[in-house]
Amino acid sequence: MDDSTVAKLEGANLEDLGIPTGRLAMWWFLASEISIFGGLVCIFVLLRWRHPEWASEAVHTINAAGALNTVVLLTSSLSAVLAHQAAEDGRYRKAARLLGATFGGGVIFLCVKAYEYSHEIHAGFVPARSMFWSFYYLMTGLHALHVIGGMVAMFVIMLSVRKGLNPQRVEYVGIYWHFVDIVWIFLFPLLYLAS
Amino acid sequence: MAHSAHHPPVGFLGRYVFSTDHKVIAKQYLFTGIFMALVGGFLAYVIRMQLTFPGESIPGYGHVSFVHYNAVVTLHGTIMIFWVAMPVLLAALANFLIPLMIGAEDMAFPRLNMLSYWIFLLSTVVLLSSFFVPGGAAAGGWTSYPPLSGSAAFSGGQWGVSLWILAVALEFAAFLMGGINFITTAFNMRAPGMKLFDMPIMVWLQVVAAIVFMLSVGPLIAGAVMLLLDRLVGTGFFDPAAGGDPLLFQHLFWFFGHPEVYVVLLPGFGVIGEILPVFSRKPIFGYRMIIYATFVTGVMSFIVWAHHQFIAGIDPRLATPFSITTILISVPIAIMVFSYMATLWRGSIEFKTPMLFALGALAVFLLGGVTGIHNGTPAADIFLHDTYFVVAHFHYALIPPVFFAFFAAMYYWFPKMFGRMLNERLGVAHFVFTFFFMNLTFLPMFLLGFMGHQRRIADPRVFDTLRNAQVENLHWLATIGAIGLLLGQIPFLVNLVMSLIRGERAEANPWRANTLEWTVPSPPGHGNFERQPVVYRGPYEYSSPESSEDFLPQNAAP
Amino acid sequence: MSRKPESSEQASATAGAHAHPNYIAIWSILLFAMLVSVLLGELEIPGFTTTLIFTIAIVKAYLVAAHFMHIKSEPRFVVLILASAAACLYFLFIGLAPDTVFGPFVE
Repeated sequence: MDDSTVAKLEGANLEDLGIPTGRLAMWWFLASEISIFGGLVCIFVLLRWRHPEWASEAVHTINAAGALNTVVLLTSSLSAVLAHQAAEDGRYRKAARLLGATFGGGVIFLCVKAYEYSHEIHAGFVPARSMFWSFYYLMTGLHALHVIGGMVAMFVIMLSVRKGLNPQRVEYVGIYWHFVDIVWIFLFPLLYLAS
Repeated sequence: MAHSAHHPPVGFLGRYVFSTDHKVIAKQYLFTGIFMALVGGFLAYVIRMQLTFPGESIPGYGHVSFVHYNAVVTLHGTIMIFWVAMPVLLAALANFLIPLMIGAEDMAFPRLNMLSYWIFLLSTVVLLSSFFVPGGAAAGGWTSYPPLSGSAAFSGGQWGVSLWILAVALEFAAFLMGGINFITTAFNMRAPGMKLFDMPIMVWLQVVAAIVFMLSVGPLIAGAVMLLLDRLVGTGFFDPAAGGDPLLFQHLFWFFGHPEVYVVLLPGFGVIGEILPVFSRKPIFGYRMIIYATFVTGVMSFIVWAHHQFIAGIDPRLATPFSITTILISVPIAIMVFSYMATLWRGSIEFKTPMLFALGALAVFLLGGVTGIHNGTPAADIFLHDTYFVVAHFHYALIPPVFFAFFAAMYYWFPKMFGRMLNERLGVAHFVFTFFFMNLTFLPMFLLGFMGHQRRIADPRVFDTLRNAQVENLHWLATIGAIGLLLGQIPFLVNLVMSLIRGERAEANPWRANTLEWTVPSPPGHGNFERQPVVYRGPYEYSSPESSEDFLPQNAAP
Repeated sequence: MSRKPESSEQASATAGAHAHPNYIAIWSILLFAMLVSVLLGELEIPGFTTTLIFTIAIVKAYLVAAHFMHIKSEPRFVVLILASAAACLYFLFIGLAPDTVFGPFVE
């Protein structure tokens, strides 16, 4: 790729650490996110260890829906990273289209999640039913909020990158999206598979 | 985010309200913090009056019921920690100083910075509104332990604690944004020539504090959401009846709560580290050692938290390791204090107001630090826990960095912030009042603690052991001290207003200091530096043989 | 104010470009790994399954972090940032374990 594109990608300021400021901020942001989700996972793992009887509740989660959502998120991560590649190559319209695909992945994910929630609540598995379900709704709910937040950011960036504005942000929102993906990679076995 | 697209803002709103200029945002944080300090101070007055004259109507407030007293104590602690110490020490000082000290035109993300302030202001409004909801404000203590905070039956109405949690969560979001800004700015926006170890101690300590905050707050955010769900949705995360564990919240709270002590302590120490060399005309002693000690403090602050829970029913095997780490963490802090003292050695000390407050902070903090050893030892803590000894201890430990260092910073950087000098005579009076009455307020509390006086009780006379003249006299002393301490702030507020209107105009470098903020006019214009400064040396080259003057600014060409 | 023009030229050579691995291949591995863990979940061999499922999850997370987030080509500093967050959680885990798993200690 030519130098002018890269200069555009990197924004105005470069620095001693060799990371553009926006990306550095994103890493620090993710560090604080790690401590939120990681803290929750720590608590859940410890309590789950203490209470093997939660297994009888855990079998009622819908494995197929969780697996489908894993596929959706992994695929949306793929389109996010391809969007990043396209933005680096200066193909902004393609980057915007791929970000749109990732956004669509987020929509599908939320639809599946909504189906799961309504199905489970109808079956009587409400948050206050037991500790396992409290944790289930807490962790997946917090994760879903992060999905929504990522989608909002992605929509804004999609509109601007179409016009070639701030293409470096495609990478930043991608990093965030991959993090949300990784959280799901751990939530899926924790809440669905392990029983 | 785009630094190049920076035009000076126009109009009153653009310049002073919706400004992305780090100096304006710093002042917004500063004045919000001072306002909240007045609210918190008034609550302190209510607490002291109630303890000395239990059951009587308090002038300016009225009758205090027992439930109401709990709300007053809760809000006093919450406000002083989260709405005074954090905005003033972290947000205001870091916002104002980091870009100026490292030679940057603004923060790395000016708009994020503005958002941070507005979210903080929203959190302030939410918190203050909780005074006026049915059932009154949160009354579960500033720690909000369940079951006290878990259900409306235990802590006033349904609204108070929920609003408290919401306000704290908003505040954390604001400071996470601020923290990311501070860290990236210090790492990526330094002036050419400024290496990491050329940064002033203030910048280093602010950055470490921001990192500690970011890494410790996550589990408590999770815990706060769980507590909110317990209250609103009926889950039982912290409810033993539903299989939950109230102790878990204590762990999550203090996993954040203890690092938080260092989050407010470190910026205060940064202020002292900037002021001592300037008013001793000497390089700071052990610059790198102080910074390494800060790193060690930051790491160790994550492994001491359970000393708050020695008698809460934690696993007894946890007590010894946490006791050891607690006592060990005093080593890096002691290294910092001793380095500061060694800075004074054979200096040409000038007792200007900033210096008085900086030295006062060190002296008072010493007592706070030493009494920490008592609380960190399980055997002693079994007796002292939840007594006034603990209250005295943490006021001695936190008033120096929060208030003394803040006052020192105000007297020192006020000229840079507003372009006018503060009155020196009023400043000295302010220091004398503050120092004397602070000790008068809290020294008696150590004794009360030894006599077994619990904290958070609205009326000591309910207990046989506390119904005697000695306890009453000590409460009298502390109350006189508290009222004196509050009245002692009047010279400061008068000084602030008077100097803003017609103080002596400040030159660019009134203290003959080295750091970059003193190389620009007072107050600095939009964009801070007219020309990009280039840095040639560290920040503390005082009385250098290389210079004919007794100071050598960081950007003076060799 | 544009500063340090020389460093942004340097950056155009280094910081901007990532090596782009074959993303589709990595995605296929991830999907396959997910399929394996779902099947393992159905089998329910006690003890063994859980360990294997979480090992697979860690491998998946590594693949996403290393290749999609490009942590592999970031300066080591980035790993340090993320590892410091994980290290703090490790302290939390150790401190919580006695009470949550074996407690509470009420007499």
